[in-house]
This record gives sequence, C-alpha cells and structure tokens, in this order.
Amino acid sequence: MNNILSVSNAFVSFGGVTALNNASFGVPSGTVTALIGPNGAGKTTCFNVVSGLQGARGRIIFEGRDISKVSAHRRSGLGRTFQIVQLFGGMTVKESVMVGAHRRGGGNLVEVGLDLPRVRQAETDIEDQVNGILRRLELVKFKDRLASDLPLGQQRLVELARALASDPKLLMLDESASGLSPSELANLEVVIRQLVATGISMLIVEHNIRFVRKVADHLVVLNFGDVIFEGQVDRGLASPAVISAYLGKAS
Amino acid sequence: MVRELSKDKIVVLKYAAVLLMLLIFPFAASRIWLNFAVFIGIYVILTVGLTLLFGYANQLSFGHAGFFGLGAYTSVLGSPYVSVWGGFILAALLSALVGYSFGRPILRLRGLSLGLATMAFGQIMSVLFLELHLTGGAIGLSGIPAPSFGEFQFDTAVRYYWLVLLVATFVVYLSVRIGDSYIGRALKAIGTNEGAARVAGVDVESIKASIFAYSAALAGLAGALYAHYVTFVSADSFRGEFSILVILIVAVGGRASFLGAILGSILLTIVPQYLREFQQYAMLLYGVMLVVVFMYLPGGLVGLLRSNEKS
Repeated sequence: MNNILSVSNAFVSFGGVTALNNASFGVPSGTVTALIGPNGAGKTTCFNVVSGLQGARGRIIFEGRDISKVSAHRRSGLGRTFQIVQLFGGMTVKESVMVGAHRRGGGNLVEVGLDLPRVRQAETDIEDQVNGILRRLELVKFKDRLASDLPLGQQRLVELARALASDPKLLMLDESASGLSPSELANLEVVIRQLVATGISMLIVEHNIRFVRKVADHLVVLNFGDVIFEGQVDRGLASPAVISAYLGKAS
Repeated sequence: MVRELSKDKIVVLKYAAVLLMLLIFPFAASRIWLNFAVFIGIYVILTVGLTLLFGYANQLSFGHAGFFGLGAYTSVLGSPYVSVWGGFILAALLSALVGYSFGRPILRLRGLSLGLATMAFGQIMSVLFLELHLTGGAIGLSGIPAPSFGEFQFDTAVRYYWLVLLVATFVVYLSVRIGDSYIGRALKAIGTNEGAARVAGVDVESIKASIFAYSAALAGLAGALYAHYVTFVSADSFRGEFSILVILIVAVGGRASFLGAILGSILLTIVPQYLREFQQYAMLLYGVMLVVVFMYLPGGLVGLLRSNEKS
C-alpha cells in the first residue's frame, strides 16, 4: 500500500525537552490513521510539523514530494483542524470557511480592487464550493452567525469545513471528537466515513479509544516523542507496550 | 429572495442619497465648509488603507505621517518634471515601494513592538524632512502649483473639492472591493489567528507587506493632494505626532469599517477647528482620546451606532 504521508526521523525539542524523538511513521493512502498516545506524547507537535507550523529535523514526504522545507501556506493538499479550536474572531461561519479556499482566490491587490471578471469568477466558484460543504456538514443555518458564538461541537465542524474548503488530499483532525455529545460523535463518524469514501486520507489524533476502534484502519502510538507502535488497530491496542504507556508504567 | 432584493435597494438608495448630498454640497456650502470638505477627503484617502491594515489585519502603524510627507515632497519635487498629475502617481508609487521594503521585514513584529518600529519610521522620516536640503527643512517649499488641465486649474476650494471627491470615491471603492475579497478575508484571518491562516494557505508575510504598501501608497497620494492644495509644505506639517492623529481617526470612527475612516475624518477635521485656542494642547487631547477609545470603545463610533441599532 502506498503512503500518502511519510514522516521519517522527525526531531523537535523545546529548550531541552524532546517533543519528537526521531519519530517515523506513515499514513497509508485512502485510510483513516489514528495517532494516539498519552498527554504530552507529541501528537500535536507532530501535526504542527506536518502542517508546517513547527520546524523540525527529519523528512516529510507528502504525495511523493519532500515538503520538509516548504512553508505552511504552500503545503496544499494538507488540511487540518486544531486541538483547541482556532477560529477567526469576528468572522461569520461562511466567511471563515471561505478562508480555507484562499489558494483558489483570483487576482492580485489591484485586480481585486478593480473587481475584474476573473476575480468575480473565482469568488463565485469559492462560494459555490463552500455552500456545498456547509450543506454537507449541516452548517447552512449558521452560515451568517459568528463562528465564535456557536457551541463547541459546531465550532469543530466549522474548522473541519474550513479544512475541507482547501480541497485536502490528507485531512488531519486533532481531537475532533473531544467535547462532542453522543449524537455529534455519531455524526462525526458518518462524516469521516463519507470523506474517506470520496478519496480523502485521514490522520486523526484521538483520545477516545472506542471512537478509534470504530473509525481507524491504521494505528500509530506515540509516547514521549517515540513511535512505540505502528500497525493494525486491534493489535496495537492489545500491545503490552501501548497499554503500559497509557497506564503510565515504566516499560 | 424578494427580501434580499429590497434590502439591496435600500442600500442603493442610501448610496444615492449620500452621492446627491456630495454633489449638491459645493453649491450650498460656504468657503470654510468647502475647505473642511477638502481636508476630510484628504484624510479619508490617508486613512482608508489603514482600515484594512489596522482594522482588518490588526497591524498597528504609528508611522503613516512619514508616508504622507514622503508623498507630499515626492509630488512637489517631481511635478516640475512629470506634471502635477505625474507627481501624484509618483507619490503613490514611491510610498508603496518604501512601504513594501520597510514593511516586509518589520511586519514580523507584533502589537506594541510593531507600533514602536513604525513610530520610529515616522520619526526617521520627519528628521529627514527637516534636515535634507531637498525639502527646504523648516523653511519648507512654497509656491507649489495646483494641478491643471491646460488652462483649467484646480486652484479654488470648489475645484479641488471635485478632484478630491473623485479620488476619495475611487480609493474607497478600491478598498471596499479589497475588503470584501479573498484578500480581505485573509486579512481578517491574519488579524485574529495567523497560524490558522497559514494552514489555510495564506502567505501571511507577503499579504501583510502588500497591504502595508497599499496603505502607504494611499497615504502618499493623500500627502501629494494636500501639498498641491495648501501650496506650502514644511517639515512641521509631517511631524511624527501626526501619525497619532491618523490612527486616532481610524480608531474613533471604527477601525474595522470603511465608514469608520470617513466618520473619523469628518470628526477630526471639524472638531479641532473649534478648539483652535487650545491648539497647544491638541496632542494631549488626541492622546487621551486614543487611550479612551482603545480601552472603552474598540469598535469606535460605528461600533457604537451598530450596538444601538441592535438594542
């Protein structure tokens, strides 16, 4: 199976504290890969490295291309959400999601100022696409509300919608299930399955192990910056090393 | 759909009413008020770019008096070679260029550090205006020609009013279009969450520098219009403190709205005229106003009006 994403020997330390210790793992194309591990294991750092918000030693291969030195805004095809929801204050749901489609915006400052036809066309295309995403995630009725005014579950969906607006090949969800009600959780599961069915690969950070069992095809376990397991979900969750990492015992 | 249409119609009617007032104004107003109107227009041109830079992207500049001055001197010194119209264009272009070159590195700074760095820029420019031989220093440059088409000179308040109205309308239109575009959305996104904006594909550094350059270009153009209207400029016109007034205009009116820049320009053109006797305290008043607005009225007058509308 081909990997859409391969991280090799990623190393990050924050003033002597090692967050990622030469971590290597892959995300097989067309799957949901779950990245789990106890608090402080380096999961979010890992997301930041892949999305380009955090520099690191090591290599990141995405769709066969080394993107290690590519700046965040040029890493097209990668979409992500954040553990602590990162919305744009003062922007409506629809506007926020449209920011996700920024790369397809047409024209430079002058062309935009003069409202040239191709600028309008790009804007209409973005709007159509975003309306579709809002419908699919059942956010249409909130589209003119401030994103920050919505309940957490909806805010997470807004982030997901924003990530989708960038047409990702790989979508990374950072604890999207946390804080969701059972019905929202069930809905998220459906959404994830639908997205995978459309050909999007997924990398999810998740604490909810039951949810991981339900949606994930592939498992990566991090502990203190080390990848201590990569492989089948059931095997991983049964592995003594993984269990002891979660229970906090020294292995 | 029907409701949306009628909403659009109301907006169109509002704009038509404002336009009509602006067209009738020179026939109804006294010379003094025409003069005010010219200055209001110049301030609008000066500040409307800051609505995008400061209001949308949250990038504070206390240095725009520097660009206002740069534009003024550029146009005055350049107009003998390229005509006054050419001088206006040169003023905008050079200000944009200086703005981009200065903004690109400096906009890595945030918040107060950025405010201080831009303030330093304003101070550097004001020292240059004072000390350079070219600018005439404190004595200044006088006898600056009015722009003209052949025999027709824009040398009266009424004529200049039409010119400034045209330019101001155009740059407000440009800025509103930019504000409503994907660039405007990116600016707002940068204003609250740079990291998330980056992930969404926004080239944060380059958009910030571009909008800084844009606002600098408008400030330069405003400076040029100012110089050829008052026909005399000296270093005193572009002191660093003037930048405080510029930010105050945007903040008082409502920084995140283009209407705010217009309301602020009106207010801070007219009010000081009635406080002439206390001119030496003007900076004190502006300073206090700025603090009060930042602390208690972050949305400015527009914010106040909108919150009243809701309740």
